[in-house]
Amino acid sequence: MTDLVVRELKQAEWDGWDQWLAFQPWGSPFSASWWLDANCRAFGGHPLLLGVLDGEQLVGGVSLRIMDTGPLHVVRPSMLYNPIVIGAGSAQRRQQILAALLEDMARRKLVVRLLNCTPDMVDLREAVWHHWNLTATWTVLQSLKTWTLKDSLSRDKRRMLTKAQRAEVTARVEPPDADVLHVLLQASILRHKHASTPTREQLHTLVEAAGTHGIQIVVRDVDGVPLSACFAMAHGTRIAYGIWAGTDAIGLTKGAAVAMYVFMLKELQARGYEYLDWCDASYPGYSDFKLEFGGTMTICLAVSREPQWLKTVTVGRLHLSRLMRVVRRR
Amino acid sequence: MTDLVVRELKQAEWDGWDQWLAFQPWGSPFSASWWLDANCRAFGGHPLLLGVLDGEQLVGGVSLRIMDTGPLHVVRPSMLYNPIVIGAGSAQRRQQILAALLEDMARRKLVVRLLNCTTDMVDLREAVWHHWDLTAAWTVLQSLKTWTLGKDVAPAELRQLRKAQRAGVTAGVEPPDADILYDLVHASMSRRQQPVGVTREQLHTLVEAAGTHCIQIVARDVDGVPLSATLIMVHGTCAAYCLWIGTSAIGLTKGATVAMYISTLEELQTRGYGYLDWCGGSLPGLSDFKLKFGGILTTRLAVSREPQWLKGTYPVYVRLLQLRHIVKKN
Repeated sequence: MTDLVVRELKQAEWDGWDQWLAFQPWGSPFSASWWLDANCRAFGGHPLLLGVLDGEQLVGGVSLRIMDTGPLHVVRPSMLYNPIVIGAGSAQRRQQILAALLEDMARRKLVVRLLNCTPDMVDLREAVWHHWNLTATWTVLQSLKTWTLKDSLSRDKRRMLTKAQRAEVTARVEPPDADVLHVLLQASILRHKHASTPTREQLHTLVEAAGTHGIQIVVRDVDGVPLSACFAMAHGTRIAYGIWAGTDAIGLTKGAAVAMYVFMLKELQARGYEYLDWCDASYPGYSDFKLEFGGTMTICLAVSREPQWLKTVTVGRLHLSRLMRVVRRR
Repeated sequence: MTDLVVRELKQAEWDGWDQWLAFQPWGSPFSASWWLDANCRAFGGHPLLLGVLDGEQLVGGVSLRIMDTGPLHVVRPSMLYNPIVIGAGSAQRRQQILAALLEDMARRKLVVRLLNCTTDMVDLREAVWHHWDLTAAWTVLQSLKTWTLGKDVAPAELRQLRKAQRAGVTAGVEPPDADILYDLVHASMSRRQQPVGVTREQLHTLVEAAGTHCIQIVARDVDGVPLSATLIMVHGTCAAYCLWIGTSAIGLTKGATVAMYISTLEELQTRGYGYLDWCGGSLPGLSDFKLKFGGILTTRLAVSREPQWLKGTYPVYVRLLQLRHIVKKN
């Protein structure tokens, strides 16, 4: 028996949600109302913030970006994580909260493509018991309390740092600038041939929305040209998330990426954060680079809920579009 | 570039494999040659022990039970885990070893239903990069170094322990006895309306094979009647694995399960083990019970590799079996 109520939190209640979120040990910006709103403006869709209440008290929730496609209400993934947030409590209570949330989403007939949870959400057993699909990915989690440059950095990266110092590149916190970030991000993505990044406009919207929750670190050459940049976000006092990072080709040769990451770790340590989540370690090569700063490879779970017929149609559509591409080429 | 060689370890080399395995921090009995051999005798199939060698030195491997079905060579799951074992080394080296092993299995055209890995195998990224399927489940992992009865066990379970003491229930290590174990496991599973998974004869084969690697703990009533029993297996010095647990209906009312669990934890602590893996935390009810002794719910990963056509055929085959079952009944 449970006395929990799940309901949509209206815009007037969003501040209350954000305040509650900031006090959760693993509360992340990805669940914040301002991030949800920015994602909807950048990528389309409308926001749905579901809160789980025990009486008047918030005990959990999830923020969802919904796209209506015909009769379907599809939850589209936001950037990196779409975590379910559950307040501290016993394992049983946490499971009850999760079950209430999952049942509410099922009642609303939401098609949930993928809810990528933060690494603290290990206990997603209720999702399996409610016949949701479960998958796993990886991230690198860096403990900042014990991090030291000497003990944690690999020898290779230390050499790169020395190289950067000799080249007199400088790293520092700068006011968020989506343009600088986008150019360097694009350079990195093209080199790695990864999935596409947000467009310049989308990045502007997201960076602006982050406001004081974002920290941008830029590494510049002696002549002031940006070589490497990263953007970290936090919503709470314990954990920061490294969301975007990019380095141009010259920056790479000068060790700018290493200088930037080392500066970021020191900065977050100085600000009192306990962990840095490098956000995603599933790419070959790039994820090993992240591990060389002393972090630990960690599992992130994700849940999804799609009707079987939709899965089949999606696969069929994918094959059809491939076929169309081949036909067009000929 | 990698200098690794993957080859089948012949029976003459099995002792060498077991010796190497015993020195791996997370080497488990599930990878041992004697366990593989016993599983093949109990459930059918033939053994395939693949070793990864760096020169003459073993650096990894996996033990597989193969069933030949027509032209297909299907890897059948053994009891609980089928772990890939990789020796200590850098993240990159471990990935190379894993990649070599996966490529060899693909070269052999093995159909791998599910390789359930132990909790130490977090970094299975290579499996995803090699287009294997990845799934996640849970187990409860108990650290024994810091475990104390007063601090870690839930108040309700402590009450159950006192109840058992008042009823004169005694728990202790006994020579392995597959009959006692089978009866109690059967009683437990019947209560939960779940299959035991092994027959009495199969259990005999497996328990005999385990020999000195297993510890059986039995809780008995004042008149000597067995009320609750567990079989723990070890192969190495760090982790112990709880394979089977069973309690009779009377045992449950007398708190015998709790007395047996506590006795198990104390015994393993005395013997110097670092961890106890409760082997499974995915069943409703039972997994919460396991958590009440101070363990942590931990994610464990599994990988599989099946051709698409076989995946498609399997549900049809299951439906046909169900249909035949109905026809037979009528």
